Amino acid sequence: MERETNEFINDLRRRKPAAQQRLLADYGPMVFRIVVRMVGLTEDAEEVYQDVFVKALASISTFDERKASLATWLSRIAYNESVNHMRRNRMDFVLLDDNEMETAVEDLPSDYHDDEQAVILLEQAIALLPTTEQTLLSLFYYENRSLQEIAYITDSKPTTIGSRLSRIRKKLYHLIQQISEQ
Amino acid sequence: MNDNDINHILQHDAQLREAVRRHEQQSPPLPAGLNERVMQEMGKVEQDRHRMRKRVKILLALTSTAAACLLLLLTRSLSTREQTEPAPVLEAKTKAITISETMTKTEVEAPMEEKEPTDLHKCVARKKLRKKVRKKEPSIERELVAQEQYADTLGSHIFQSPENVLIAMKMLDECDAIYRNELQEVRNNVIDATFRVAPPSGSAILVKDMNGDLDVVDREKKRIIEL
Repeated sequence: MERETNEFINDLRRRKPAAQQRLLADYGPMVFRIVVRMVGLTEDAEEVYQDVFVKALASISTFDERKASLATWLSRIAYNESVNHMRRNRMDFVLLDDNEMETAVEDLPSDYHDDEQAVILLEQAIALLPTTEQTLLSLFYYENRSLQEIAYITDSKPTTIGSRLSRIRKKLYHLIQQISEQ
Repeated sequence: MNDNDINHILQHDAQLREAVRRHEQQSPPLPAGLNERVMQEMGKVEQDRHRMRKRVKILLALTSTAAACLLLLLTRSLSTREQTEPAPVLEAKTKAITISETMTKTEVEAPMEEKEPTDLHKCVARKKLRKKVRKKEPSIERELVAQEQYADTLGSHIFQSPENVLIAMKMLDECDAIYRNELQEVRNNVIDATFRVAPPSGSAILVKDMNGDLDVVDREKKRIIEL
């Protein structure tokens, strides 16, 4: 498996079209999810998506498999390109700040509603979160990335990501309360 | 934090995980044809890069050619200048060679001149002529030979010191002056002796000119008498 991955990366470095097509097919949906979540479903998302792969293939020689997997590396490029696009277009996004107030595990909400109703409310609350926070949730709960990997993608520290996720959970609790009250 | 709390958090995480999964499933799929467009875009980028590389290569080739031409011109001009204006060090060495060689000849010829004092003038003239000829063709081989032959008397560094060259030139001038004086003295003695033994006529007298040369002059006819 590892050998196959190495051969695939070498083919990408040799700019073989077959390898490039495989890269797009295998990792395209994941990259598109990150981009759409951050930029929104617009023409801009497609533009950013193109930029991500053009940039990735142009700098594939700098890819170091010891630092991160190919998926994590591509996610990092996608995240950075999306943030750059948002900055250029003055879109609202929340930066991951290392000095951000940490939230203890004990502070987590303890009165979620039961099962299905709770999930529906959470889903509605997630949609209200800023795009960068949605991306963090997605990377952690959907892509099953570790805190270290998310820290690499967002150019942050694992402890900061942990704190951030705790804070998002607390935020979701408050949002659920607001939705329930309405 | 007790086990109840941990379970609670995990439960919440499970709910959150499910909520995120559903939220992700709502996100739109990858538009059809987007990957093909990306491949085309990458093809263009690749072409542009290829073209850029070509341009850079051409530019580099032109630059290196220009640099080579400049270097060639510079080298030529430098070599021309060297030919027209010899370096001072070389000139100094050339003088050293000439002087050392001249001194060698002088040392060799000195005993002969003692035997034939009358030929002194011719010897000096010949020596000067040789000196002029040798000045025109100095060579490294000669220098080496001269160093080997006269290393004991002149020292092996005589050719490297401009001061030594000056001293040698002074010595040569002194030698020339001595030879000229000797020649004059011998000539004067010969004329004086000849005049005393057999005076050419009654009106003949011995006269010394401004240079100190003795001549027999006919007082009446006012001309030099050759003895």
